[in-house]
Amino acid sequence: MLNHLVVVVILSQFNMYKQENFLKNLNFPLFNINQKNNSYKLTGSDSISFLDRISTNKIEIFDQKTSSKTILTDNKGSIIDILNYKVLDNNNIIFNLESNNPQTIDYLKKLIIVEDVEIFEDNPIKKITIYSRKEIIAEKNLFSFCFYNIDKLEDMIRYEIYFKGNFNITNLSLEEFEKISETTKKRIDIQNNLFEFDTKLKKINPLETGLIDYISFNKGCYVGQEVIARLHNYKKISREIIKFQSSENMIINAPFKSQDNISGKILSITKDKTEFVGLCLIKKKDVGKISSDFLLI
Amino acid sequence: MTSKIPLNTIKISEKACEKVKEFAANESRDKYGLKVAVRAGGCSGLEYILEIVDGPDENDKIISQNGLEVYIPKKAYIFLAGTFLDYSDGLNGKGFEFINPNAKSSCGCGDSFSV
Repeated sequence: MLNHLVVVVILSQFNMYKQENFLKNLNFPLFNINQKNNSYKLTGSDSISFLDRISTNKIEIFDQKTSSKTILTDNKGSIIDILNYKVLDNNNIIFNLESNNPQTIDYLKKLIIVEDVEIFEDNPIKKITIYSRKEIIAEKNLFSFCFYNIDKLEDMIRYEIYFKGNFNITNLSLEEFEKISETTKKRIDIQNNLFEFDTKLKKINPLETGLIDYISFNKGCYVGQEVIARLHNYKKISREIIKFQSSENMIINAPFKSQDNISGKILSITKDKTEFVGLCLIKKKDVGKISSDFLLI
Repeated sequence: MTSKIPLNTIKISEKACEKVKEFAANESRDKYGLKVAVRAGGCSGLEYILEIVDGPDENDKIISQNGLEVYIPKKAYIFLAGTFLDYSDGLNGKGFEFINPNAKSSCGCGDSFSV
């Protein structure tokens, strides 16, 4: 495939300063609500075993109140989709897809061959993402929600909470928070090297995209385990996430080649005033080759 | 050995049959059969299941070889048609081993495959 030659600037110190100012100008706490999420239920006596055998995390009933993420990978270790899930009991798991792509459900249904597992579409859910400079929600207050994730980032805490009906936490009023657009949310995530999985993304693995916390290295086989374990154990992860900015919009998963002859793959992108910023994967060996001239383009 | 088994069905070596009978005898089973199936899992996407069971389920295809009844769920049959099940023992033996013409690739240990 031909690579596009575009002006891609890996963020220089000057630009990093701009990024910091972007965050400083925000009035934390912030929140964003996404209305469109499907949720699903895995039902049957083999549900836990089934999800455990096809995804990276150890699926078990350790605590029915907590939730986590798990990653569906193919037999080459590439991400198919990312699931937020909660084990309700021995026979039921609720989950949603980070991509919200129904094709992942078709993929899961094809994997059910002889087992007692069925997949049902459950009620639609909403997702609220809250960014705060300090801890404002104790984890126990999130147990009643469908799923949640708490990311303790360098200088902020990111709460991702999925819920049905109305969002309601005692002693917490969203009216005191600033509501942000999807673009601003994406911008904050990019600043923190976070991206939401898009099914347009092909041939990326969870180790190079910062998802190691959702991989169990002692659970035994799952689809893709052989490749992922080898990459991890022999330290063969060849790419890493880098922030970039570009004068033109770019397509997720598209390959690019910079003027500095560095090639990579676009993971996420959003508009920031007149330019675009995003995350891309480049080879680790190229990180050291980035010249100061390149940085200042 | 002459066989009237169709080409598309599962073949089981005499040694594998004997080994299944030995396991069944150890479990003191009178009436039993070998369930052969596949399910999602393993490193490559689909993993084999071998189980000694009392009898067939409603939707199982039944094959008789070397005095052993083999039960294959119909949904699993499309992944297993033409498979040869062998058994190798000894210190370096792999135990039960599937040689599956439907497998495009398999994992290092051979316990799972993709089609």
